[in-house]
Amino acid sequence: MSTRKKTILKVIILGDSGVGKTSLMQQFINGKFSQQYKATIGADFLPKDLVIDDKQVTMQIWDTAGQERFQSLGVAFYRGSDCCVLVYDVTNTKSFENLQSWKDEFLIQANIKDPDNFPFVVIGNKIDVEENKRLVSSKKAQSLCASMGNLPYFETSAKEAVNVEQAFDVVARNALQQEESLEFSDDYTDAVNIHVDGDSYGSCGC
Amino acid sequence: MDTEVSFSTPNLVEEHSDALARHNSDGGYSLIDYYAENRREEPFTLVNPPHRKTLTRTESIQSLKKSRTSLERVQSKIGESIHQEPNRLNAILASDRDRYGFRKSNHYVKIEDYDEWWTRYSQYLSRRKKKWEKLMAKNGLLVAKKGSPTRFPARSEELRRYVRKGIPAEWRGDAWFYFAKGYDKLKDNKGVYDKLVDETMNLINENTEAIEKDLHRTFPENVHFNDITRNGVTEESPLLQTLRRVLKCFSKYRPSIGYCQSLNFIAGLLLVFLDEERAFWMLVIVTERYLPGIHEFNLEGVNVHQGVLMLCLRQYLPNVWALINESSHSNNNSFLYELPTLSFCTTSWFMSIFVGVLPIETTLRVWDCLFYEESKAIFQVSLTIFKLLEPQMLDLSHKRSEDDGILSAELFQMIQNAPKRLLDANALMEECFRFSSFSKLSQEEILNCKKYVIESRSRYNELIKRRSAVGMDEQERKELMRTAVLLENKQIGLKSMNWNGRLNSRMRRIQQRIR
Ligand SMILES: Nc1nc2c(ncn2[C@@H]2O[C@H](COP(=O)(O)OP(=O)(O)O)[C@@H](O)[C@H]2O)c(=O)[nH]1
Ligand SMILES: [Mg+2]
Repeated sequence: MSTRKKTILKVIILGDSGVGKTSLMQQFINGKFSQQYKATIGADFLPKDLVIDDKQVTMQIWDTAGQERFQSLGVAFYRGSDCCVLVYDVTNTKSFENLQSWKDEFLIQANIKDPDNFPFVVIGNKIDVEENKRLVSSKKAQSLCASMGNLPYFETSAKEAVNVEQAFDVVARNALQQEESLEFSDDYTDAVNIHVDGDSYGSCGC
Repeated sequence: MDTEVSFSTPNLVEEHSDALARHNSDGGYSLIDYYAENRREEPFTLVNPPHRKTLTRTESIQSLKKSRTSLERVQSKIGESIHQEPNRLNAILASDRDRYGFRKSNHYVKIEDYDEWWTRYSQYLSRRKKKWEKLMAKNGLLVAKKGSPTRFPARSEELRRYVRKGIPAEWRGDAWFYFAKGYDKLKDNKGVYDKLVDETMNLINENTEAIEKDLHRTFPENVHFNDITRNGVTEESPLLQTLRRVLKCFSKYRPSIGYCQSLNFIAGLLLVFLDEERAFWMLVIVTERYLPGIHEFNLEGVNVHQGVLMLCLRQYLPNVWALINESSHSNNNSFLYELPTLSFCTTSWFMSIFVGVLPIETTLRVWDCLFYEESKAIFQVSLTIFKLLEPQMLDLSHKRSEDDGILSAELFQMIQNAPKRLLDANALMEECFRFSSFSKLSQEEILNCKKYVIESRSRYNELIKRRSAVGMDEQERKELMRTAVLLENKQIGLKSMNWNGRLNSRMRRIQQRIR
């Protein structure tokens, strides 16, 4: 693997519709919140250049549509991701209960070889709301994250820019670690693929 | 999970359809008349927030009546502002909104650019309006000064040319509805919509919850789709209430679709041009005739349409295709099963029919063609966008040739963002229907491609299912994909392809091999 190659970290944001995925991504990348975001159809993508411990990286953040049926679009862009951010809305119990299935869905679609060591980060968003509107407690969330394999957990407000920076910093670090750990195995699969390519060409007599 | 509360309201239904019938009796009802009559009624009253709890019958009738009246007000307001009189068109220059209430500028279009373009475009619109009036007169269809025709000339080369150059905005709703055969639908379904409104008024389920989440995320950049705050009191916009009703009724009427994100954009834009009931039927027509399968629960229609678009790209824009195609073999059709990542940019081109993809005036021009020329217009416009982007895409690929990850990401962004700047609708349409190699693409060809893609995909899925029963690992699956439909001819035009025969023999051979 060439060393001059710029490090690209691919991050996927998943979670139910309306939990604030688009708002979180915008807050992190553009530093602002707006009521004007339209519902996401298909997938959106934004890049951000970062420096992590003196290392230049480009983070590619993929924002997705939250409605369940969009999973049928054969989410090819999950492949090769370095970190997955699972978002729920602290005012919406269902979005919390769905975290596990988002995680499973991702592992299957992204075809992750080593699911136990793949980095996920969980975010509980909209903590700016009044106390009585909050339906999922920190304690409950923390215990779920612990049971899902000690996943890092953050509570954020995309609206008030609370903790967004911190959450994505951990996302970036975990993604970088993942990317570096994958370099060797990537080279290995490439070699196998080339072999198979040649094979199938031959057998078809093309 | 439906917590539906039903109560019989026969009077209500009759009452409303009476009103429609009155307008129907003299040769199709004109909305303009309908509004004019209603305008004399009570002044604009603020509407109660949506009721979710059980209402008494009288309450519910009142709330329905009230919201309808305010809806009509809103629509007539939009209706008036889109009348293409020169002074009205000019007034847009002084406003930060366009004639439909959308903000003129955004992240991609500067207000100066909008105004510069609008100065020219508004003159064009006035000229086109005069031509349309002449065309109508020539065909013996008189249109009152401020009215809108409910009938249009018979289909012809000439009419198609007129449609491609844009339908006058104030006639748009009527023209779309007419071309899409909406009146037949309406005639066959008298009273159905009103019944649906009744039945869904207190409905709460997964669909309605999803609808609630999207209402305010539909057109936040349009004044009519935002709540109104007056004297410190926030009231829900009447148009949002209408949008809610249309989407709820649709989810009930078409349970195989229910509510699918992106329907909000289509219904929302329809409501700018059509009254509630006709917007509803138009939504039904769009999903069953123009974009079948696209919004169904498994979204397979999206994959199929994307597959067709990929076939078209390979045929008409090979340079663009080379950048998009991820498979290393040029004559391999595996992209029909595992669509290239970049095809994700075009999901919303189909699902939302370019709403939010192209600037609004440009989107409307595409819709004009779609409703007159069928779904091929979507493919032609998509190809045109790629054709316009081709130089930039190639340029980028030369600069980035050493780094794949960055290239595909930057291409993705380019395809995602560039259309949002395509204000010049005339340039886009001219390129599409006059200069391009695909200007003659026929609906039949598109249907053939679609059939082919559907068959390929279902065969592949079948094979996968059968193989996975006996156990197939990822590597085998890939191999199957590579070889499944490896086409023998190197240069296969969309037209010259023997769609079914060749595929069948290919599949037979593969199935034998698998056995
Ligand atoms: N109060 C509050 N609202 C938020 C926050 N983040 C997003 N929202 C709102 O939640 C709704 C859905 O947000 P969006 O980012 O579109 O969600 P997505 O479907 O996950 O992309 C919008 O109305 C946002 O304004 C937050 O941190 N606090
Ligand atoms: Mg979103």
